[in-house]
Amino acid sequence: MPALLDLWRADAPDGADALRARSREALEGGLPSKRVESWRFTPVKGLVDVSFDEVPATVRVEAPSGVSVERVASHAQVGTVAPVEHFAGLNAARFSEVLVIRATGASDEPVVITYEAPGEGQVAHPRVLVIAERTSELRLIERAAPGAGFVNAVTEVVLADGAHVDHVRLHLGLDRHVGMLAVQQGRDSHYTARVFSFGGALVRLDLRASLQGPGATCRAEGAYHVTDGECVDVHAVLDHVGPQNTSHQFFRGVLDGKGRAIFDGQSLVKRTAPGSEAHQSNGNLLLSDRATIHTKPHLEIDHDDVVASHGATSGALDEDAIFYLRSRGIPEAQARAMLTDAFLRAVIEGVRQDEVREELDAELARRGLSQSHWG
Amino acid sequence: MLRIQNLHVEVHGKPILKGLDLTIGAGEVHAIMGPNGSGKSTLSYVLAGRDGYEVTKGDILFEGESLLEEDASERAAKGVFLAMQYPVSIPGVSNLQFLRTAHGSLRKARGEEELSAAEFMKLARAKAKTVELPTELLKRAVNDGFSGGEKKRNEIFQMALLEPKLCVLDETDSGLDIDALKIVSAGVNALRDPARSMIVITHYQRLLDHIVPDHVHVLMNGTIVKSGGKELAHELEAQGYDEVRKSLGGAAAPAGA
Repeated sequence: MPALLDLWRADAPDGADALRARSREALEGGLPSKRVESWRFTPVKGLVDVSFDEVPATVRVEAPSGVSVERVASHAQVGTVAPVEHFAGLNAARFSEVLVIRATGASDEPVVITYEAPGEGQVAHPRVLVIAERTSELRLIERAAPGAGFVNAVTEVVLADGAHVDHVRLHLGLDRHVGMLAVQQGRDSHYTARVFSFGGALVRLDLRASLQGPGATCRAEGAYHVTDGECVDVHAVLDHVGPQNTSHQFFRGVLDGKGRAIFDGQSLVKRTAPGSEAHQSNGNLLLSDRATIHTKPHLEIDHDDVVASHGATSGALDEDAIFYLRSRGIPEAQARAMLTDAFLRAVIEGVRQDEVREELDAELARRGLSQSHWG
Repeated sequence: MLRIQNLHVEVHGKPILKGLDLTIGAGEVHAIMGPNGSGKSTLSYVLAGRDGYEVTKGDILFEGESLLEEDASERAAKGVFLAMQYPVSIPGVSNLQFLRTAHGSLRKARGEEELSAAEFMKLARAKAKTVELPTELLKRAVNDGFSGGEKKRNEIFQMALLEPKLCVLDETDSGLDIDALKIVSAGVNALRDPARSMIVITHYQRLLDHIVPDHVHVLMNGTIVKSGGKELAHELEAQGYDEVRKSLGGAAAPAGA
C-alpha cells in the first residue's frame, strides 16, 4: 500500500491534464502537517502517515427531471472554484471522473448525491461539479455513507446570476472524511449550506465561498457532535469580493467525553465590497470537562461601509434550566438530553426536507441525544 | 399534608434556614412573608429539591414520608410544584413539547397511562384558558421572549395542567402589573381545593388581597418568628418588618449581627 502522498506520483487517470499539472505542482510541498496554520489543531497524522489503497469513487445520484446528470472524464469548469492545495490537490490529481449536475429550471425535489464508503485501508476521491444556471432553483442533499475508509471529496458549486441553491451535507457515522466545498456566487444568487457532522475519527470540511455578487447571499450553517475518539473540524472562508453581498455563519456543536472539535470561520470583506454584511456565530456546549473545542471566528475587513459581527461561546448546560425541567417531573438524564438536543435544534429546524430532519433525529437518538421519542 | 421540622439548610456552607417549623394541612393556604434575605427563596428551593441546598438538620415530611432522599423530579411525581420567581427561558424546546414530556413523566412515575397527543392538546388548551394564556404561546419555546406577565401565567398554567398536591408560589407577584396580578391570582384561586395545599411566598401584602391565605407566617433570619391569621399581613404592611424585628429583640436579628 502506498502512503497517501505517493499516490499523485502514479499515472493519473485520463482528462483534466492542466488541472492535474497544477495540483502536482501544489503537492510538491506535501500534504499539510500541524505546522500549517489551518491544520494546526487537526489530527492529520492519522491520514498522512497511513498507507492506503486507492479505489475509484462510487457516487450514486438521484435527480428529479429537469436536472441533468453527467459523468465525464473532465469539464472546463472543474478546478475553477476549488483550490488545488493539500487534500483538494490530491483529489484534483487523482479523481477518475467528474459528476456534473446542471440545474436550469426549478424543482422542489432534491438531488441526492451519496458517496459510498470505501473499505478499511482504502481511499477514494469523489469529484462533483454543480452548475446552477441563471435564476434556477436547486435543492441538493450530499451524503457520505457510513464506513471505515477514507473519503477525500471535492465539490464545486457555481451559482449564476439569480440562482438559488439549498444544500444539505450529511456526515453521519463516518470514520475518515476530508471535504472541500467551494462555492462561487453571481449577482443576486442565494446559497445555503447546512452541514451536519456527527462523530468520526476525523471529519473535516473546508467551506469556501466567493461572493462575487452584487446582491449575493450566502448562509453557512452547521451542527456537530463529538465524543470519545472523535474529531470534527470545520474551516469556513466566506470571501466578499463584490459589493452589497451578505453572509452568515452559524455553527453549533456539542462535545462530550474526550471529543474534539475545531471551528475556524473567516469572513473577508475586500476593498471592492462596500455595503456588505458579514455575521458569524459559533456556540459550543461542553458536556464533559475532558472535551476540547478550538474556536476562532474572525473577520478581515478592508472597507468602512460594512456591517459585521462575530462571536463564539462555549459553556456547560444551564443548571437553572435543568432544575426547571426536573421540577416539573422530567428525570435528570432526560432533562439534559432535551436541552442538548434543543441547542442543535436551531440548526436542524432550518432543514427543509422532513426525511432529512427525521434522519438527523434518528442519528441523535442513536447518539443518546434525541427528543424524538417524546412524541 | 406537609410537616417541616426544625429545618436547617446551608448553601455553600452558609446557614440560611436555622430551625424552621411549619405544618400545613390539606386544603390550607399559608402565606410566608419576610424581608429580603430572610430565607424565603431557599425554603422554596429546598422543598422542590434543588441541588446545592444542603439540609444539615431536621426533616421535611410530605404525606407522612420524608422528601429529603427524593430528587426534584421524584418530588414532582409525588405532587410538589414550585412556581418560580424567575422562570427560565429554554430556546429550542416548545412549551407544549416540554409539558407533554413533564405530564407523561409524572403519569409514568405514578404508574398511569400517558395521554395521546390529541388528548393532551385538548387538556392543554382548556387549562391555558383558565389563565388567559394565548394558545400561540403553547407552541413557542418555553418562556422565550415571554413578557413578565406571560411567564408568570405560564407558571400557573403548568400548575393547573400538572395538578400538584402542594403548590409553592415563590414571589409570584414580582414583575406583575395589577391586571396581570388579577389574572394570575384568579388562576391560583381556581386551583384551591380541599385536597390541595399552597404556600404563597411574598414580600408584599398586596398579593394576599387576591389570594387570601388561611394563615400568615413571618420568616426572618431563617426561622418563623411570628404566625397569625390573614390580618397579620395587613399589620406587617402598616408597620414594616423593622417593627417586628424590634418587638422580637435579638431573636430576629439579621444574619451576622
